[in-house]
Amino acid sequence: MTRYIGFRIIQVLPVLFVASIVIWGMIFVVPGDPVALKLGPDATALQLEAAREDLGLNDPIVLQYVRWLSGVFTGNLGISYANELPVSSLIATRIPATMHLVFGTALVSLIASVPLALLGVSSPNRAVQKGVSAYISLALAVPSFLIGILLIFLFGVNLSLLPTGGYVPIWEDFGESVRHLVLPILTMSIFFSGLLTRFLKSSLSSERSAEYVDTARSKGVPKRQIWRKHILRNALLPVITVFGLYVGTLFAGAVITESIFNFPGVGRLLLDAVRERDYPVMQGTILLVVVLYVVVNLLVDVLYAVLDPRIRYAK
Amino acid sequence: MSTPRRQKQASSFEQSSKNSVARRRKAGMSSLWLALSAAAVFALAALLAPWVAPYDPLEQNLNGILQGSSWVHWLGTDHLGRDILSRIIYGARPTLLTSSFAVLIASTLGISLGMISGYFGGLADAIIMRVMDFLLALPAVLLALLVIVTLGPGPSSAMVAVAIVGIPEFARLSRSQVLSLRTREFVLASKSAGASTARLLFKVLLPNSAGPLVAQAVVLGALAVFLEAALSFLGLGVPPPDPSWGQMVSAGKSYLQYSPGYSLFPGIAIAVLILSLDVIADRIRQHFAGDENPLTDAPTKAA
Repeated sequence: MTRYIGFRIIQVLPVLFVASIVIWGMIFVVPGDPVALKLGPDATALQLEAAREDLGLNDPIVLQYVRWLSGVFTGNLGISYANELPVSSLIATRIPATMHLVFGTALVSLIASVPLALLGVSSPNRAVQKGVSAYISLALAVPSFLIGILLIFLFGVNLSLLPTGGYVPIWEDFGESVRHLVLPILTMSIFFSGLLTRFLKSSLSSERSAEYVDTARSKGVPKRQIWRKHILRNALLPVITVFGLYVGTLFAGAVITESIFNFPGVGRLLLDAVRERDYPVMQGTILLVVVLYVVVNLLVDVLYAVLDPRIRYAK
Repeated sequence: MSTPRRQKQASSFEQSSKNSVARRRKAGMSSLWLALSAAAVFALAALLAPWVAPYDPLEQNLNGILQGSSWVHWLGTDHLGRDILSRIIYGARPTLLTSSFAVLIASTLGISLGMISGYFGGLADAIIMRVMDFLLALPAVLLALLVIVTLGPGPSSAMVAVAIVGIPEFARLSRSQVLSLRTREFVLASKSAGASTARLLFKVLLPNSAGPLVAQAVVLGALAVFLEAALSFLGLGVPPPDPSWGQMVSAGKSYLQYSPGYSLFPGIAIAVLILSLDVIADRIRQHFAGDENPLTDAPTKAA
């Protein structure tokens, strides 16, 4: 087991290394001089040069990268151009909001997709099966921002039931927090549950014709129990990988959802940084999202190996 | 998935009555025709915008702002009194243009890289596929943002962003096609008949791997429409006042109470176009592959 985990970590390191170089190097490719941008249009050539020396931009390029990377490891991501605050503390204040959103979405989608997929495959009623298929197609095709706007229109504007923006931490006021989270989580969950239902459905329909199902049936196991205890359990396994892969993308998808609902998470921070061309903040947030994405995938792979011994012995 | 299970599945399909299979195929065909005509309507709207749009999309009329649907303005007017239908018709242009060019760039580069990788193997293969692995390792929205950040916001950056998102999947697909076809008899036959490498690649291998690649092009088309609209929605695509669907959805958000159509109509246009492309891609894939395995054809769109 430890060998398998070690093997997976070694596989992941090159991706993180290249990503760190790309994210750090982007500042050299962007049009315009970031130092001039930071100091504003009135800076003299002498001030620019001094600032460059000060920021270490005249040092050899490898040294600059190593310095940046060691900063990353010690939690120093630089200073924001826009408000002179350390990037790491800016990000730290935004992480809880995004975590609420992503984990809420993951939970809601998982809970919704299991009954949906079971109905879609095993319901005796054709119309129900067709309904599930239609839900999947629509959930995957309608862009998240349109879903968000529709939800705001229905629940926020028309019915005035729920707040359409903002965020309250769950440990401060549970009820208010949930009220603020319902619409953003629903927005992201419609896509995500559609995706999970689609995978689980196809996994279920290939498991249902496995030989162990015939065995169970011939033993006289009740139909419900065959579905729940035999087919569903086996069908859920491959879906775990997909689940992990896409939970990672939710951190990126949060950029759109957070911007619809004025939700103060990491995605909004990144978007605002892009608009203000605040490079240290962009670098920090993109790095964070990439690391989270890779780490979540790694955790899911390990979890998969724990649940299914065939994976770890195959290596 | 093991081979015996596959066969078993096939046999259980045969058991279901021929009648229902035929009926299902018929339903599939009609949804395909619906999807094709929807896509054609959008393409025509984009091409013929100056002739079919009832108004100038930029013409403001501050005396008639945020109107609902009427005979004069079928879909109403926006906060500057501009005709929403005309703006949707003109807005089809940046979306379709960006998406088709992005797909063209991504397929050309991706297929070339994949075929080089699969045909020559060795060091070229190793380097190309590691780069593709890296691109695939990042979520699409994040990769697009990274490109936008580096090139600066605007429609051409959005196009490059979508193209880069699309390259790895084409490379992976064409590489595996070349690898599986390379040792087939007809390829060996042309090789021993003295066909040049270029002829083998472009006249023998490429046409024979066209099916999955065409399906992938349509899949990427749908993703491209989504990404372009999302970037415009975030204010990183087409700059105002030029009409674009994503930007209209975003601008209309402030007026949902007075004029919901401002936001919702362009949003519906995006959704219908993506849905039609999804249906078309599904049908192409089924046509060439016989069965669908969504576990390997995962959409890369993020919520």
